[in-house]
Amino acid sequence: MIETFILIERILVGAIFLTGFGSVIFDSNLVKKIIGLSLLNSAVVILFVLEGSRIGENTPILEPGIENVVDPLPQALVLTAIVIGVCVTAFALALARHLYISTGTFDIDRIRSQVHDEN
Amino acid sequence: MAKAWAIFGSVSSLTIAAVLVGAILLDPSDWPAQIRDFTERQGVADTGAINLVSSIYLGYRAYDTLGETIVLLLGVLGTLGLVHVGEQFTGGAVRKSLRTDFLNVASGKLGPIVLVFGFYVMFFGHVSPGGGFQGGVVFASGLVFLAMGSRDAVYSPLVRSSFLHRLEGLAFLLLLLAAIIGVFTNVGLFGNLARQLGLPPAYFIVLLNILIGLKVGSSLGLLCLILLEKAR
Amino acid sequence: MKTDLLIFGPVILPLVGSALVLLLKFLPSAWSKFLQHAAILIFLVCSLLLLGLQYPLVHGGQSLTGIVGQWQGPLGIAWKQDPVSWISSVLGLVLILFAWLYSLDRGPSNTTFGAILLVQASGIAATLLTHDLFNLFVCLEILGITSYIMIAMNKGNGAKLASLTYLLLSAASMIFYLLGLYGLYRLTGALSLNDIGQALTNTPLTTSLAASLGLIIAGVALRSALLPLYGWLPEAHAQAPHAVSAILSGVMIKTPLFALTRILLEIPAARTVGLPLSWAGAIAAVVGSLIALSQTHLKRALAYSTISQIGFVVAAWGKAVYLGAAHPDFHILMTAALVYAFFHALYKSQLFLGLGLVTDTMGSYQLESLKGGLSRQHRLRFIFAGLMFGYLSMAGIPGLAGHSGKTLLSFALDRDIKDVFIVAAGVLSVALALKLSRPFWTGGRKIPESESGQPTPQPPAPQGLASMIVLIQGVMILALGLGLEPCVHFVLSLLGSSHRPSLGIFGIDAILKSTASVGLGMGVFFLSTSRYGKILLEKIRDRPRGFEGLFAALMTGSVFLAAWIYLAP
Repeated sequence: MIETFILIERILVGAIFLTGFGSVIFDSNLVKKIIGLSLLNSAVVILFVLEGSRIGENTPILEPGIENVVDPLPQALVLTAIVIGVCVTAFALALARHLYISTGTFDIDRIRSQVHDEN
Repeated sequence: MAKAWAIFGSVSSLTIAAVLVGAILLDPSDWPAQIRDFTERQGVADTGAINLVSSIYLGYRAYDTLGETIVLLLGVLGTLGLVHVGEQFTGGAVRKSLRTDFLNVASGKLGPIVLVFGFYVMFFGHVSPGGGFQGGVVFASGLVFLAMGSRDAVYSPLVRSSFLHRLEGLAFLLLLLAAIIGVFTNVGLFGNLARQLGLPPAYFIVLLNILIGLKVGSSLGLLCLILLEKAR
Repeated sequence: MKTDLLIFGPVILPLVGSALVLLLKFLPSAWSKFLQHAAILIFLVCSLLLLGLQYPLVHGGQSLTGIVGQWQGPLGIAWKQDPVSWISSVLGLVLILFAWLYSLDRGPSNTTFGAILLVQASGIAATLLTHDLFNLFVCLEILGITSYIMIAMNKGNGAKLASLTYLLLSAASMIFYLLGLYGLYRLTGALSLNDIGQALTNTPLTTSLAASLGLIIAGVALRSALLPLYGWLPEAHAQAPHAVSAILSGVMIKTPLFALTRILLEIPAARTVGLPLSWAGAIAAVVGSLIALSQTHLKRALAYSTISQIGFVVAAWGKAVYLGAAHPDFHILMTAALVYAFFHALYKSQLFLGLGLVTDTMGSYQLESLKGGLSRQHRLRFIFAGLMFGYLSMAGIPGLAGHSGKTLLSFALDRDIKDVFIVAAGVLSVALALKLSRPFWTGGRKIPESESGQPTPQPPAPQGLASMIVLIQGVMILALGLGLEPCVHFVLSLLGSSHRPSLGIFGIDAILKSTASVGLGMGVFFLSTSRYGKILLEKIRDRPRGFEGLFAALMTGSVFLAAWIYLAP
């Protein structure tokens, strides 16, 4: 069975994840959706690193005398995932900015109706 | 009516997501230790880096790292295409009031120090918890400091977007060459070149760290400068 | 070592090309632009040549495997080149070459576009080559970000909004994919597909395993626009520049699908989802065509048609995966899926490119305003000649690729109820072809005049490279359509099967079937122009669709797949 402490940590990470996801679908402001996406990214990153650290005690730098390190693979994977997330967020923000400049609003429903009228 | 459907859709998405996330997060099995054991045994001997995370993303899985530098390259290209330099987002008056002498002086003076720190993190990535990415990000923030600290007309040559573009392209090309040379000298894609030349394998890791650091630093720096509308 | 060079050439070469193109931009000479275009052409052609050289290595069902960097141990990135991935790579590169040539004349003409296109070519080869779950994530993100950027390259807010919607949906689904990867790694301790497959043979089927697999499969399926995950496609393909629409519909939809083959075949618990996916494909074939019929925007109609045609491919592909690689019917089903995918990519991209020329010349996308004897316009006669092949192909006229593909599909899905769906969708395609070609054959209307009585200045006639490409593709459609049997035999031998079916495309049976289909299709078309037909189609067109619906579809799809994996015997 899972210890209470570990369970609480996992539930917290799950809460961050769901907050981010909720923000992406419920908020009508584009910037808030993008922030939600960023939250989703962070939640997954934390999950990987957190869970990977359970099997050891030391940072995975093998200085003389160090053993019983944590799992280095999740950390390597999330390095890539973080950078990819940053790039996608940057491009999304550039798109949102462009839409704001041409339509004057960040609200997705109003932008959709404006685009619909344009077509 | 459409609004009711929208709310129904959102609520059901969230609940289903909660169910799936819960199913995965509440798994009671133990975290597998095979990879940790393998890298503890072999990592330093295979790649020369005592930082095991570096040994993974610059050694065993360097191909993924290449993919991620490609995403950075594309991110910069895409953002640059959308944000036209000179277009006003906020009013000019608002922007001026955010600039104070303190900001100019402090960031301008701190900039070079941050850059040096970034280089330190890049170079020593194989023995400390640093590396190409981390050093690159610090490097990018150093560039932002320099840009913020410059007065309107005086821009440090490091912060000019043409320089950063060229640095980015060059670092990417060199990274690709480092990958390909491995293919030609019989160690496979991204194989450890230094071992072929008889040098300690850590040299290759350091080289990759520097290239990645420059690539990431110039890309992220360029991204920040574009979005801050300070790209010149 | 030599194999490494050969296999990874199509991945590395376009990247080197792209880096060179970006650096050449800084060369302050008149030669710079020419050099950049030359670089793109050279690197694309060289990648194609390298793929050709790989043929003897994958012929006959063989596959090559290895680890990138030749590292020993469980940590490296595994790769595998088998006949399915080889064919998909060739398909991808050929179509990108066509689209790039078109874009030189008509499309986004900046060299940034060329550089991004090269990265996309590399990404396609990499996605198909990978045998590692995390590497697949990185490759899909590369393909994704190139798509977002290219869709947003069109002027107007519609393109930016379509790109942003696709971005949010796709990025979120990739994060769920990462969550699924976390679940799988936790259970197996490996990221490479054969290691995972081996480790899972001893693991009991838990909810966590089912949920992880569901999220991973749904994440990839979203990129291929399988039912119900297709919501992002119509806007994305309709708002993109024409060359980009051609690539999206032709290649980007199919690559993730064939990459998914690996995951489903290696992980035994996941193979059962082939059945519901196959059904989803059959349903999408009919639903997509129906919604396409209701559209008035030309490109959106083509986009919905893509959803329908992918349904055709998935109907055969899903069944092949479900039956497994050892089943005798596997080869013919997979061949049907691959051949249909190739044929569809060809005629759909031709329609996008050709109709793109038409809409650019006439200045409107709405079918209503395009009506009026376009065939009378001399300027468009050349284009019309080329597009004829595409239209006839869509309508399923024997001798052209569309009909041949459908014949093959029906042959492979013999004695399966889904064949009924395929036939029904075929009838709807005929109606759609009639509707989309209507601007060319309805009676003439005067060229609109401006207020002063002078004829409005007409944009110049499209001639040159773009229309050449449309015509060349038309000829290919005809050639491949007539040459169905050799094509099928080639693919079957490539996959390692010695089965040599005879497919009569001009036999009495086929002629009767297609006459019936065309007749019914004409009937449906006339129904659709009647009063009740119009009302029904308008209801379909204006159905409630929203941003939230996209995510609801993603979540529903994921949980359905997870439940299926958990509960199916």
